[in-house]
Amino acid sequence: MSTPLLEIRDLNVHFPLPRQSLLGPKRTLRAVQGVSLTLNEGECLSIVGESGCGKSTTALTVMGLQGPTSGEVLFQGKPLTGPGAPARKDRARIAQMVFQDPYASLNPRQTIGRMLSSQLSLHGIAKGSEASHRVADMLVRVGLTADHADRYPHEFSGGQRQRIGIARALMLDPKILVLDEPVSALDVSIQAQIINLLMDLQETLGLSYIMISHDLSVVEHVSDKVAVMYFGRVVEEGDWHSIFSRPTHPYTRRLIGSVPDPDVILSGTRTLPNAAPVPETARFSPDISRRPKPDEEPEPSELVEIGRSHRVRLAQ
Amino acid sequence: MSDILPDPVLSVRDLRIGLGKQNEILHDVSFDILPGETYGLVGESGSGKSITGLSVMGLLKRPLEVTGGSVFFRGQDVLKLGSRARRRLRGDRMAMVFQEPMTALNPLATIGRQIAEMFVIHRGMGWSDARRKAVEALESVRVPSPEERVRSYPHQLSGGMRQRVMVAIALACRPDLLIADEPTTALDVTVQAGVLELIAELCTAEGTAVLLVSHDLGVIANMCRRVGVMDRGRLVEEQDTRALFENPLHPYTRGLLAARPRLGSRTLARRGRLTELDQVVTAEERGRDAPTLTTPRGFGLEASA
Repeated sequence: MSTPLLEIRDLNVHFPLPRQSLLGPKRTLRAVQGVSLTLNEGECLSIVGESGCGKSTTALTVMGLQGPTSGEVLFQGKPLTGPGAPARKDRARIAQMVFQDPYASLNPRQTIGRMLSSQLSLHGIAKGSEASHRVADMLVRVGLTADHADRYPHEFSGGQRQRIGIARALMLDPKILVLDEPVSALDVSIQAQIINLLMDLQETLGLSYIMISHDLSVVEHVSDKVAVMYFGRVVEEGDWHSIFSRPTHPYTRRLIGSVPDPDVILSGTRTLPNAAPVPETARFSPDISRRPKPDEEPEPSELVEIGRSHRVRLAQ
Repeated sequence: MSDILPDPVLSVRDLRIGLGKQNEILHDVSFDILPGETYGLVGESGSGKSITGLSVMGLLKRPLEVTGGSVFFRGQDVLKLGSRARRRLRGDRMAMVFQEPMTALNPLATIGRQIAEMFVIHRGMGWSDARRKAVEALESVRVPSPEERVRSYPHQLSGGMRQRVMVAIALACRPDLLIADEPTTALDVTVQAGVLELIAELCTAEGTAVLLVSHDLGVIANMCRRVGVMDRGRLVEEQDTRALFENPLHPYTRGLLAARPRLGSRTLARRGRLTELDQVVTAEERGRDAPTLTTPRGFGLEASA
C-alpha cells in the first residue's frame, strides 16, 4: 500500500490541570488519547463528536498549533511534529485551516486583496501585478469577483466571508485543508452553496479535507471517512457508508439518533439502522451512560475490526 | 372555521418595525398563536424573525422601533401599554429564553438567586420562600442535585445546564407564552435533544404557548404544530408543520427545504451537489409585498412526538 498523505499515529495531547489542594496529586486532562487516523490523497475525513471531545485539539496538532504529548503526525511519511518537523513557512504550504467564524479570522483593517497577496510576497511566490492576478483568479475561483479585492471584511455577508476564508487558505496551494465547522455559523441556504464550493474545489484542485463538524447530515453528504470521538478517544471509525448504515457504538447511535431531521419526525418513526454484529462477550468502551471524569485513568480498550474498514472501540 | 378555534393567546396584526422612521425592515407581519400551541418562526438571519419575538416582549432596542400594527396578548394590545405595565407582564405572563445563556444570565449572582428573583418580583414572596421555590424549579428542569446547584454561578455549569436554568427562570411564574429565540443553537446535538424535549414537556404540561424562533428546520419540525416562514421582513407562508414540509406553497420555502442536506439521502454512487436556494427561487420572487400564503389549521391536533 502506498504511503497515506497524512497519518496521525497514536496521538496523545494532555493538559495539566490545577492541583485540587497544595499537596494534592498532579492531575492531567487527557484531551486526546491514542488517536490514530489516516488521510489519503483526495479524501475527506470527518471528525465528529460533542464539544470537548478533542476533535479540535486533534486538528490543531495537524496544523502545528498544538504540540503533541506523545505520538506523531506524518505527512507523506515524513514527520510534521517533533525535531524533524518542517519550518513554519514550509508547513503553511502543506496544510491550511478554514475557521468556523470567518469574521473573527479576518483582519478588519486590511483589504481582502492585501491580505491575500501578502501571503504570496511573504513566501516569495509572486509580487506586484503578478500577485494581484493570482488574487483575482482565486477570488473568481471561490465565487467572488476580482473587484472584491479592494473591499474590507465588514463589507461582506457571512457566506462571502466564508468564501474569503477559503480563498485565504488556498493561496499557497496547500495539499490539506482543515475545515473547522465550516458551515455551522451560516444560514441553511448559504450552507448549501459553501458545501458545493468545497466539493467542487476538492475535485478541481485534488485537495484532501479534514472536516470537524457536529452536523451529521453535512458529514454524511461530504465525507469519505468518518471518525467519531468521545472524550478524547476515537470510539468508531470507518467509511461514511459503514458509519451511517451500520452505526454500532452506542455513542454513534445516540449522535445519529439526536439529529432533528424533519423527514423522520414527520413520518413519525425514528428507526436507526441495525448495528453491525459484535462478539457476544464484548462490551463497548467507554460506558456512555455516565460522563467520564476528565482526569480519570481510561479503561483498557481497543478498536476492533467489525466490517470492511469499520472499527469500533470495545473494552479489553 | 375560526369560530370553533379558541381565542389566540397572542395575535400579531400587521406588525411593522422600522430602523428609524424611514427604513422599514419588517413589513405587515400577522399571525396568531393559540393557547398551548407551539408556533415556529423560521428564516435566515436578517429575515426579521428575532425582532418579531423581541417586539412581542417589548425588548426592541433603538434605533429599532415598532412603526405600526398591534400585538394583542390575551386580548390586550400590549403596544399601547406603558413601560411599567409591560415590565409586569414580562417574566410573569410572557417569558423569553435566549440563544446564549452565558450572556443572558448574571455572572455575579448564583442561579438560585436568579430564579428566586422571579418569585420575589412577580409573586411578592420573601427571599427564603423564593429560594425554596427555586430549588423546585431547578428540579423540574431536571438539573441533578438542585439543592447544591442553587448555590452555583453560571460559569460553573455546562452549556446545556445553563440553558436548563434559563428555562427554569422563564417558566418559573407559569407564563401563558414562552418565546424561545434559537434556544439550542449553541448546544451539541445530543444536549439539544434533551433541552428541546424538556421545553416541549413542561409547556405541554402547563398549557403554555410557545413561539419558537429558529433557523433549523429540523428543530422546527420536531417541536412545532404550526410554522411561519419569514424572508426579508415578510411572513411569506404559514401552514401546519406537516403540510408545510409535504406541500410548501411559497417558492422560497421550497428552496429552503431543497437546500438542506438530508440524513440518509446520500447514495453509494458519486456524492451529488446540493440544490442551492437561488436555483429554486428567483430574486424577483423574494422581498415582494404579497399576502402570506396560508392554509387553515388542521383538526388532527395529535400530540406531537
